[in-house]
Amino acid sequence: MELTLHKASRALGLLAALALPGLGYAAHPFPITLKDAAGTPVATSARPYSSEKSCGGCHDFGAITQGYHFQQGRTNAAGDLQVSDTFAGDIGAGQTYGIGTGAWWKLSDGMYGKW
Amino acid sequence: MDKTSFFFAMQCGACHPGGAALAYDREGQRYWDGSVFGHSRSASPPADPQLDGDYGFVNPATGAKGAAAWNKTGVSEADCLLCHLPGYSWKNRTGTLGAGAALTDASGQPVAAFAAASTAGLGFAQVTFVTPAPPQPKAQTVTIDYAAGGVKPDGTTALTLDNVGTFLERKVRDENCRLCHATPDRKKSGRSWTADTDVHKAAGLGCVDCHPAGPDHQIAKGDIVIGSVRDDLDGGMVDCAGCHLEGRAPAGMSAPDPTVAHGDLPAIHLEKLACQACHIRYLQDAASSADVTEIPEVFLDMVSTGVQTPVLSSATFGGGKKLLGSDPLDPSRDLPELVAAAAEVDPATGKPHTEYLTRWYPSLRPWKGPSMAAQKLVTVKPLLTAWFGDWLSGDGLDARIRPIPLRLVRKALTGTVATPAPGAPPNPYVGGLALADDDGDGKPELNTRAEIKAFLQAIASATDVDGTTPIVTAKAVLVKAPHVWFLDASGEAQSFESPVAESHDFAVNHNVVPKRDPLSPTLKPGPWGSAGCAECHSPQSAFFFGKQLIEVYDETGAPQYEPHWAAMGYTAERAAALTASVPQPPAPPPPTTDTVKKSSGGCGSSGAAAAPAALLGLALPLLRRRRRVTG
Repeated sequence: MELTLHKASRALGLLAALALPGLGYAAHPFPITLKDAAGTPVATSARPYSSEKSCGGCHDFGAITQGYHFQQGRTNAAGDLQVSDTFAGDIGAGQTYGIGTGAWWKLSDGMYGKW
Repeated sequence: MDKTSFFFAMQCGACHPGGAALAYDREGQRYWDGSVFGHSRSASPPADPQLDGDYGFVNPATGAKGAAAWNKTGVSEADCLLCHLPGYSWKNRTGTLGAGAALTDASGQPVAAFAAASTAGLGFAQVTFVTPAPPQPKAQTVTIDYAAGGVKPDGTTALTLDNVGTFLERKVRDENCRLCHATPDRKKSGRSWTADTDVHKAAGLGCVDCHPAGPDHQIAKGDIVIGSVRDDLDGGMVDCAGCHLEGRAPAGMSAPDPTVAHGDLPAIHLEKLACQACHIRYLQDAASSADVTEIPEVFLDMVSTGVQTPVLSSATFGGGKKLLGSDPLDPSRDLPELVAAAAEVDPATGKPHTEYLTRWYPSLRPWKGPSMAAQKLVTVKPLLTAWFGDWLSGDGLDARIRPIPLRLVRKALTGTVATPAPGAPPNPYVGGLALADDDGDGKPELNTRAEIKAFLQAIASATDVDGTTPIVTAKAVLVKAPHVWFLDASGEAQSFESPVAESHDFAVNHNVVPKRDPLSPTLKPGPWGSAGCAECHSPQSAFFFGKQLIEVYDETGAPQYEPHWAAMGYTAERAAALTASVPQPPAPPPPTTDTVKKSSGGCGSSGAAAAPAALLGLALPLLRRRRRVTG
């Protein structure tokens, strides 16, 4: 029953979002429950809330976090990891990464890299 | 990235919203899942952590290399509410992350800082601070407390576990964007986003009106000069043409069609100039934020003490000397008219107009296109840098120079890798090193050949904290825009120019200036050309002869500039020809009544739009590469 109600509320929310596109600042279409990393409501556990568990139950958390604001160059357009520990210009003949840019200091587009 | 992702989460996660490198290693494993490390799949950190950016950590105080304590901090998940909750506490988030593995609650119990930062951002925590002030607040204790209520999204009602959904918003407010973007935007490009510094903000546009996002959360990008993250997404935003020519203005809003107003402008202008080149004529602080300076950093000094030290563009608000004053032809001074206007008290606010003392002018450079001839001139704010590097090979365009980590520079110059406490004086030099203040700004600078020689010798002979590993593998160099300095075979300091030492040109695409006020043309000059063709096409016009900063201090301590015409790619002769008088196109056919258009003060006659570029004296081959190649 709870699942059915949940689906119904989601459907209503989606309908509201589609029907009222101008209400950009409208509130979330139904109440939400903050959950911790174990999926337990924080009202019970008193532990830090988890976006993945709280929001990811309905929203496609994995797809959303492929956005470049999150990935910061960690992944490319295909969603593949593109992490390098090799400085630009050092990656071998035939490679063009960094060539001619002067960016010899650059390890990787993503926020990784050895010290 | 040379600081490891653990350090990045602790120091930079304030704005980077979590997930990705703040939660997962390069194999896609969660660094710490609550019981095991992703790399080893055990509860123990890697025995010999490779400093590959994932599980290594270098103690910033001692330089000792060890393991990242993901098991103590947890990971930083992507935080949806950083954007979607009005009133989100950036200060709480930043301070909690910054406490790292040492964080405890008020009773002294350990707190997983990275995992708890989002909760603190909602205000569901009692936070005490070691360092409360921006730009890098640091918490002392964080005690999660859901019962006391969180931030006040509407300014009055406290967030509770029952009303969170009430306050979440699908459309992100400017205030949330600016939580993260305000400081770096100001530092990099001098951008502010207020009604009195941008006509679009004044018209009611918000960030996401031009930078929308769909369910995939790929927030529409511009196309900036610097930036290597997902360049395949560049240009997706609603740009000038999108609203003003293509009818993509937000619902309920309209954007004036500029066709008529620009109808008299010879076509070459729109072919070679981005809209911003004329319409972002200057930048200045917002009058509404007189106590918050928005002037940008023009120089990052990483060599004087081994601590990254920014230099602002103006002496008026904290800088040592005036580098980008409000006189475009002589940036070492301000325009007297603006100084006078700044002294007048605004009767509405009771405050003087100090914003006029912060006015500066963006630089110009060609950008984007398969060839120089196809590039457009865009507005940028150059950032000059000085750093020590390891010169591996090549010279000029092909010089391969790798930066030396600042902790090692500090050790070489001062004998310690630790940075001084905020507000404390720099660590004293060792080995007899010394610098003089040659420009009289109260701060010594590394600029004379003798100083450069001594510092390069110190870098070349320095070792890591183990006392044996050299910090330079090939040849020590000082990269100080626009030169690379090295010691020649006889041990004397010499230099060459290289792209490695070029400015980092940050795009200036906001702060579109308001229309010209004929009654107050100095305070509100409007876009370039508002006063007619001769505003640019005249001897000593600021458009062509305005100065761009290219060196903060030379060997004598003096700043060096280049004129806009040089940055545009013109020769001195061509610039002189273009500014001797307004270029005259061939005589147009006699106008008929239905072809007379409303004049906007633009240049030339209506027939000029069809005039070949060569006849206007703007032959494309004259554009040259900006980079100067010398060996």
